[in-house]
Amino acid sequence: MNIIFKNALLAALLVMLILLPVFGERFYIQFVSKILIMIIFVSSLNLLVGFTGLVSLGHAAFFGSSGYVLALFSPIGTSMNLFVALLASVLCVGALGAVFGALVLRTKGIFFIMATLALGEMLFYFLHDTAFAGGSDGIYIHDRPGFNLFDWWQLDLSNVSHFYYLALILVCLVLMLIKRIMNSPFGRVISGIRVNEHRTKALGYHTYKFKLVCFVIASMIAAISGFLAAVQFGVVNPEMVGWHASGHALMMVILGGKGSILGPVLGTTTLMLVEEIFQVATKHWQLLTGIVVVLVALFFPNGLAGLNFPKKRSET
Amino acid sequence: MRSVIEARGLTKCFAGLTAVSDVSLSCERGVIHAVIGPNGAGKSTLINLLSGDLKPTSGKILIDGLDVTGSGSSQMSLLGVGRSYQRSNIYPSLTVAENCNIAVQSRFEISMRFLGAVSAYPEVEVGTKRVLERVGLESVVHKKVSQLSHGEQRQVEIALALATNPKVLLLDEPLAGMGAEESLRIVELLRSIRSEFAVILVEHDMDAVFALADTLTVMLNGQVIEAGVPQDIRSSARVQAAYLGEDFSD
Amino acid sequence: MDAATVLIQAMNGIQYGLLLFLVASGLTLIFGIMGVINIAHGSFYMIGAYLAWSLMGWVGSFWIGLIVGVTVALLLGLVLEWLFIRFLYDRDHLQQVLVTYGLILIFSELRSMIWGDDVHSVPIPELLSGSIQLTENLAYPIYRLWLSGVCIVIAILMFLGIQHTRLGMMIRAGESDREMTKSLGINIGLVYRFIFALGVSLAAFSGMISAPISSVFPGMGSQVLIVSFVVVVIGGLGSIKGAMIAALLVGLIDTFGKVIHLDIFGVNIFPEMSGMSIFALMALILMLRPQGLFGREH
Repeated sequence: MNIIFKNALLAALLVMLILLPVFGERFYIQFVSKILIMIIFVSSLNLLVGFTGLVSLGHAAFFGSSGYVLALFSPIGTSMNLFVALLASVLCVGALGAVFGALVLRTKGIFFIMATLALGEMLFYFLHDTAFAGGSDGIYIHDRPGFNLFDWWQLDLSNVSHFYYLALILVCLVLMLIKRIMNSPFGRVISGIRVNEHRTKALGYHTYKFKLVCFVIASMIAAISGFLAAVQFGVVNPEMVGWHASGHALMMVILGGKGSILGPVLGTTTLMLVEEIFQVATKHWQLLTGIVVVLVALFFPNGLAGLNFPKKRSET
Repeated sequence: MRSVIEARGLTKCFAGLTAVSDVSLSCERGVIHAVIGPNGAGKSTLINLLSGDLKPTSGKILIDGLDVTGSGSSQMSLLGVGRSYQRSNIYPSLTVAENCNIAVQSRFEISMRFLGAVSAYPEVEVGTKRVLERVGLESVVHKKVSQLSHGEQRQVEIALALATNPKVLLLDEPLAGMGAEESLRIVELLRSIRSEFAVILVEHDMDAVFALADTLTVMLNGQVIEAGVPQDIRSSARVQAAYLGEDFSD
Repeated sequence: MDAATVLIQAMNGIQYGLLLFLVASGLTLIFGIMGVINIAHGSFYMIGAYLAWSLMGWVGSFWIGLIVGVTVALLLGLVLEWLFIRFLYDRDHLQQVLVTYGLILIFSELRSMIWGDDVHSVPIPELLSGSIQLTENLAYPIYRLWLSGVCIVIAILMFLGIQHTRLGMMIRAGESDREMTKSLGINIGLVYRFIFALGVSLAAFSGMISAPISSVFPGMGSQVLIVSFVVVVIGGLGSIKGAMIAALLVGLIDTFGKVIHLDIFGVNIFPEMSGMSIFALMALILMLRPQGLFGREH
């Protein structure tokens, strides 16, 4: 596809997204917000799966725990400063990512998949079984964080439009960040590790260190999305760290096409729309989702990006 | 002149089988030292020991007189040992430039930087350009390696080794699978850069070996059976016997 | 805790460990031979338990139900391998994970459509319903002893198969090399199909025999899958011996984790944290020996 055409398409999409709250109904604004949050999460997983070649089945641990950090630290009765709260979540989750990463990156291949899943589930049982985290019901967030600009303008996250724009800005920032990372010297090494870790080692790199840094970055980006999800729903529960949340995101990564910046945008939007349609059609919509995933994984392993931009595909 | 790389009594056993037994050799800057021998003689294992890909069962490896035995491949690379592999071991789905970027930037303290673009680091751009000119790949800089011919891929293999600015160059059959013309180009390349490195060359192409090598080590069944300058090797009865059945006349 | 309680808990732990071994060994077998990571393995365990429940209702006999159930599982395994799994042998792990994850969603939803989302219980068969008197006031159920015995017999058969057949040699080597299997001069497609079906029926069988001592519930598949992963990571790849020792270790730790009371500053941390004890063990293994207790460097 022509690069000018592609950019024009993206610009048009962005304009439509910016205008949505002006014309759209509340339901659609909320639904698109959900998609935007998910795009951030799926992009962070794509950084591991698509760009570094690390197939994690426990990535939701960072998504969910970010919301828990917010819920546990939010004072009752007052609203926290948005940026302080977001930074706190991202940093705490980054620390968790460093600990988990240090452990699971000692394994490779199928062991990595199993170890990430098991560690994620450990967090699930921890949050599920302990009283301070609210058990299986989770914790409610009564006072959403906000932001006050010189008493002149107030960012109110219980307002769907305000929340929507925050999510939109963060999605754009995250996508730009990932693009920058992949064009940087660090990104070169990460690509090298994905394609041929052995040679990358032989060129003098301590690959474990690079994978760990990438793992931490991915966990911190996942924390941004988890934070937003917790703010939007006003509640966190153990399901948010569970492995089905990880599996769900993994489906979106491959559906969109792993290893491309816009793949997660495509994959997330498509799967969430499709699931919405399935949910209207039948109570047993997961059956249809399952069939779609099996067919996509078997017959279109390069995802939708692989169909549309065969020449842009970075991996085959 | 002091040797840049030296092996003392290197031995490697795999589950009871001795692949390399008590091999000693050394190489100085500006010297091409060829290791030859029939298939299964342990040449590749020797290279893998010297590059840190394998750990020796016993024996020592010295770089600039310093004992570095037991270092892994990434440490060895940082100590100045660059290598090429017998089977191309490169990044097929990346472009030629990206391949070289990875190798070049391993020598600068910038690989952990993730915000600036690679193009913002002139040292990487310049280094990449220089090494590609050297091996003669300027015309395919932005092609994916998987789209290159076999010969060109072998050139990328050597480019990666050169791009790390090594003191020692370990070349494991650089001419493997190459046509006559391509081989000639690589031989020319090696000749043009020989003065800067200590080169240890494993190669089956005897014309190339005798055209390039200053000294030789001949291996058979994991052991050194002869070592010396080309004239001595050519006239050695033991070497003749080892190569019995193979065309070894010049 | 008195000695008798310790004994009973130890026996429960071993019994749980043996059951885990059956599930985990199927997982290792399928990966070891065919190089496929099958995360739908827990679903077969769940299907087995539900089959046991409904077959008990239809045919009335646990034993006939067991035979019918294993046959059904074997057929299911053959069909699944033919439909999906055989396309995965040369694919990367990501695609294997996704296809089998899709199967989890499908099976979970089919289970909901066929059997509903309720929790059920399966009665212990008449023949094994008694208890053995250990001391004056402590008894141990015969069914649990029988279950452990069955697991041990299957484990022994598996060990013999792996020690004395050429296919077993491959598993021990931790290889998944189609070329090598071809060189053994056997019809590889058929062997793979059979082994996959064997793994499926092993998981379903485990689910069936565990049904009478644990309830039958929707989430049992993922629960056992995750614990099996922990077992495989601790035991090491391609090592049936490792799987056995890790399974027993996990079974004992999990069982004792639930009954030990450890007070720290007056707060009883164990009942709350008991679900995490096996994961803590796994984390420890990853720190000390990332290739697993009996795994080779990978």
